[in-house]
Amino acid sequence: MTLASFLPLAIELGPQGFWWMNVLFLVAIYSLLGLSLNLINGYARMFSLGHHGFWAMGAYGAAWFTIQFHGHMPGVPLFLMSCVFAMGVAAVGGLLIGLPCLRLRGDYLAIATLGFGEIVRIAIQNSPREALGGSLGLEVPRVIMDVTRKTKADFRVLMVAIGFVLVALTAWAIRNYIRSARGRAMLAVAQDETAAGLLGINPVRSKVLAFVAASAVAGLAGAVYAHYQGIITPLEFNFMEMVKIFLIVVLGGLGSISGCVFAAFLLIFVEQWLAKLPADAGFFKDWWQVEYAAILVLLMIFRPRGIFGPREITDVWRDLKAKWAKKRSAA
Amino acid sequence: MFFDYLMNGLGLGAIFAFIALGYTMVYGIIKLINFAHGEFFMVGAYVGYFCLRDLDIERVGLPQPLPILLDFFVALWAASLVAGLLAVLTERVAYRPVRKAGRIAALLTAVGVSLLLQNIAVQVWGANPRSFPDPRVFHALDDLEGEAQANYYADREFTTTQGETVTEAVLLISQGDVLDATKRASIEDQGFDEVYERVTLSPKSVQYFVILALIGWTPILWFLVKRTRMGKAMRAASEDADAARLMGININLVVALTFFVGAFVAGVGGVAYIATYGKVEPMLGFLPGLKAFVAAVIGGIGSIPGAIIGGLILGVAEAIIPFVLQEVFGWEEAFAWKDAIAFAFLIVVLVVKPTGLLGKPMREKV
Amino acid sequence: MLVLEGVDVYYGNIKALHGLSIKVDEGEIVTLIGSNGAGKTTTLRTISGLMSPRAGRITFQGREIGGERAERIVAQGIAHSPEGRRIFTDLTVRENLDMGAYLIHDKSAAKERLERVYTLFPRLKERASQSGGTLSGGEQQMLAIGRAMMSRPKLLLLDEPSLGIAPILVQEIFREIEQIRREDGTTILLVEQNAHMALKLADRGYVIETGRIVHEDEAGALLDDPKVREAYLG
Repeated sequence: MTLASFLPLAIELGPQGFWWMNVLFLVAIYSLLGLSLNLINGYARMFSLGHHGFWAMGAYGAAWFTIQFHGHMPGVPLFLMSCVFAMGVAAVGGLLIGLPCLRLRGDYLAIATLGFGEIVRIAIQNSPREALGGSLGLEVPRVIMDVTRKTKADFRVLMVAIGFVLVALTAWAIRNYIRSARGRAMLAVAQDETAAGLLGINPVRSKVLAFVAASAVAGLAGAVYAHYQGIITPLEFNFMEMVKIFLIVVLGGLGSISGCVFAAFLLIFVEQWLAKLPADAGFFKDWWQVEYAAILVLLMIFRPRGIFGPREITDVWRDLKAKWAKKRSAA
Repeated sequence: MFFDYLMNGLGLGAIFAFIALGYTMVYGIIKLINFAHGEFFMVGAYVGYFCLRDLDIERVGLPQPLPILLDFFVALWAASLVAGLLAVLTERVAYRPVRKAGRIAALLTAVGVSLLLQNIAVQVWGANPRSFPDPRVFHALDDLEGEAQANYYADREFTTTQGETVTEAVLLISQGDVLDATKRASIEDQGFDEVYERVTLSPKSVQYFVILALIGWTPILWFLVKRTRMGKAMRAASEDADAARLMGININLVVALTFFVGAFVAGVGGVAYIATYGKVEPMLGFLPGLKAFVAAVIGGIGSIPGAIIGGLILGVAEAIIPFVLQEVFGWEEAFAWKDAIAFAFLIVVLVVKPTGLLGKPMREKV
Repeated sequence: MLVLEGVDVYYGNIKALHGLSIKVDEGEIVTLIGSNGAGKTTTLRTISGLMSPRAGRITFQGREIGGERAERIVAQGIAHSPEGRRIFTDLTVRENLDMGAYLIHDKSAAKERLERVYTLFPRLKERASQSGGTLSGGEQQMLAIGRAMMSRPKLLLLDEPSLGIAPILVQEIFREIEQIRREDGTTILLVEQNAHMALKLADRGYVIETGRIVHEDEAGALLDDPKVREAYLG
C-alpha cells in the first residue's frame, strides 16, 4: 500500500548494517541541509549563519504536529502532513527573518541570521515543558513504525530510502530552478545586484524566494530527522551544527550539488567512525573537533571556493579524463 | 535593588565594551567581523586565572591589600600580552592569506579560527569550568592570638590512590576557636608554621574596579588612536588602504598592531570577567563575543567611543530589561530569555540603523 | 630619472598595459594624455607600487623598483597624488599632511615641509584643523598634492588634478604645479584628461591608447599635431 511495500526493504540488519544505515541517514539529512544552504550561500551568494535555526524549527514543528494529531490519524498521512507542516513553519520563519534582513550587506546578514538561529534555540530551551519540551527535549511518536510493523520493512532502511528520495528530489528541484528564468534572475542578482535591478529583476523578491525555499528544505530535513530520532533536544541544533553544514557546502564547492552530497558523506562517515572508536582511541579522536575547525580554516585559505569549486563531480571527472587523454597522446 | 541591577549592568557592560573595542578597531581597518575575538578574550581570562591561582605573591609578605592588587596587576598584563600576541599570530597565519579572497571567505575563516581556539582550549585546559580561586592572606602562626577571627587553612600535599600528587586546603582553625598554646602546638606538629585566610572579593567592589578600569582605559585608547603616529596611520588605513600605502604606511604592520591592541584590551576584559563571575571555561568567549559585536554595532562599528557606549548600553539593557519585565510585567522567566533579548536587539539595530549610534554611513567601495 | 621599459600590467586576466615604455628626466614635467580607460592611471599605480608589472622593467634613479611594495617606493622619493584625490576625510587637514610626512622621522624636517606646503597652498593653513571631508573639491585637490609634497619627493606623480574642479581653481592648481617644479626642483609626471592644459604646462608628452604608447614628442609639437588635436584637443 505504500512505497515501502514495493521496495525490498525488509532486510535483517546486523550491528554493522545498523551503523551503516545510521550513517547513511545522517548523510541524507546533512545533504538536504547542505543543498539548501548551498542555494542561499552558493547560488544566491547571500551569507546565512542561521540555517540550524530553520532545521530546528522544522524538527520541532513536525514533532509538535505529530504529537497533536497522534492517534487521530493513520501513520503515513500524519508523517507526510507533519513534514508539510514543518516546511511551512520553517518557511514562515525564513520569510519573517528574510524580509527585514535580506537587504543587509553580506557579513551583517550573517550576524543577523546567526542571532536568529540562537534565538530559536533559546526559545525552544525556555519553552514550557508541555509545549515544546524545554531543555529536556521532546519525544516524537514513531508513526513510521506503523508502516514498518505492517510491512516488515526495517525502520532505518525505510528512513534512509525516504532521506535519499528527498535528496534526489531537492537536487532535481534546485537544478531545474537554477535553469529556469527565475533561477537565472537569482544568479544575476548574486552577480551584480544593481545591474540586475536595472534589467527589471526585483532583487529583494529573488533573494527572499531563495531564502524561503532553502528554509523550507531545512525544515523538511528537520521533520525527517525528528521522526528518525524519536527524541529531539534543543542542544542538538547548536552553532557547531551550522559550522558543520557550512563546512559541507564549502568542502563540496559553493554551487555544486554532487560535491555537497559527497562532502556530507565524507564528513559524517569520519565523524561516526570516530564516535565508534573506544574513548581512548588516541590523538585523532580527541582532536577531531580541532581538526574540523582546522580543515575549515585551511580550506578558506587555500581553496576559498571549495575543493572542486562550483563544478559538479562529473565535470571534474571529465576534465581529468581529458587531461589524461592529452598526456597520453603527447607521450 | 534597581541600583544593584544597574551596577551589574554597568559592570557587565564594561566587559562588553572591552571586547567590543577590538571588534570595532579590527572591523574599521579590514572590514572583518573577527569572530575569533571572543576567543582572545577567553584565552585572556584563562591566563588571568592561572596567574591569580599560581602567582603566590601573598607569600612575599607584603601588607594587605598589596598582594591582591599586585596579583591583578600581573594577571592583567600577562592576559593582555598573551591575548595580543595570539591575535597577531592569528592574523598572520589565518587572516592575512584570505584578506584578498573576499569578505565571506574572511568571515568564514574567522568562524573556523574561533572554533579552532575553543576546541584547542578544550583539549589543553579541559571542558569543565574552573573556579576562580579566592585570594589568600597569609599569617605566621605565631602572630595569631586569642579568638580566631576567620577560618584559617593550609595547603597539604597528598598522593591519591592513582598515584597523583594533589594539593588540598585543610581547615586548621575555625572561626571562634581559641588559639592557645596547645592548639598552636598541635598545628605545628602537623608541620605548618603559617596559615592563611581566604578573602572573598565582593562582587560589587569588583564591579567598581571594572568600571574604573574602563574609565582608565578610555583616554589611553583615545590618545593612542587620535594622537600617536601609529594611531593616525590606523585611521588613515581604515579609511583608504591604498592611499595610506602611498604615504609609506606599512598596512600589514598597522593591521597587526590593530589586532594586538584590540586583543590586548580584550585581555583586560577577560581578567575583569573572571574577577566578576569567578569562573573560566573554553566556551566562555562565544556569547560575550557575539554580544560585544552587538555592542559594537549599536555604538556604530568602527567607532571607538561607539564601542564603549554600545557596550554599556547593552550591559545595562541586559540587566535592566529582564528585571523590568519580571518586576513590572510579572514575567517570571524573563532572565532565562536575556540572551534572546540581546540577539533580538541585534537584529533590530541591524535592520533599523545598521550604522549604529555614532557610526558613519558606510561607503561601499567599488 | 624614471624609466619604464616594456611594462605589462594585468587586472586579473585582462591586460591593461602592453609593453609600455616611457622615460622621465630629472627636472622635467612630462604628461601622459589619453582617453578614459587608456591606462593612464594604471601606469601611475604601477610606478608607485600599488600594482605590480608582470613583465618589463621599471627603474628609478638607476635602481629597479618594479614590483616593490608601495610603502618602499615612497621611501625612495616617489610621491603619488592619486586619482580622485583620496584624501582621508576623517582626518583633519593637518593630520592628512602629517600622514604625507609619515616616513620623515625628523621632527624639524617635517615642520619645515609643513611650512613649505602651507606657503604653496595657504588655504590649507587656514583649514588646518578642519576635517578633510569638509573641504571643497579644489581644496581637497590642493590637500592631495600638498600631502604628496610632504615627503619631499624627487618625483611627483599627479593623477587628474583637474578632475571635477571649478575652472578657476584648475588654473590656480596648475600654477602651483609649475611653482613646485621651479622652486622645489621636483620632477613631475602628470596624467590629465584636459590635454590642452597639460601640454601647455609640460615639456614633453606621451599619448596612450588602450595600454600602448602611440605617440611621443615635445609638448609644443603635440599641441600642434593635427591627429592629437583631433583626438584629444577637439
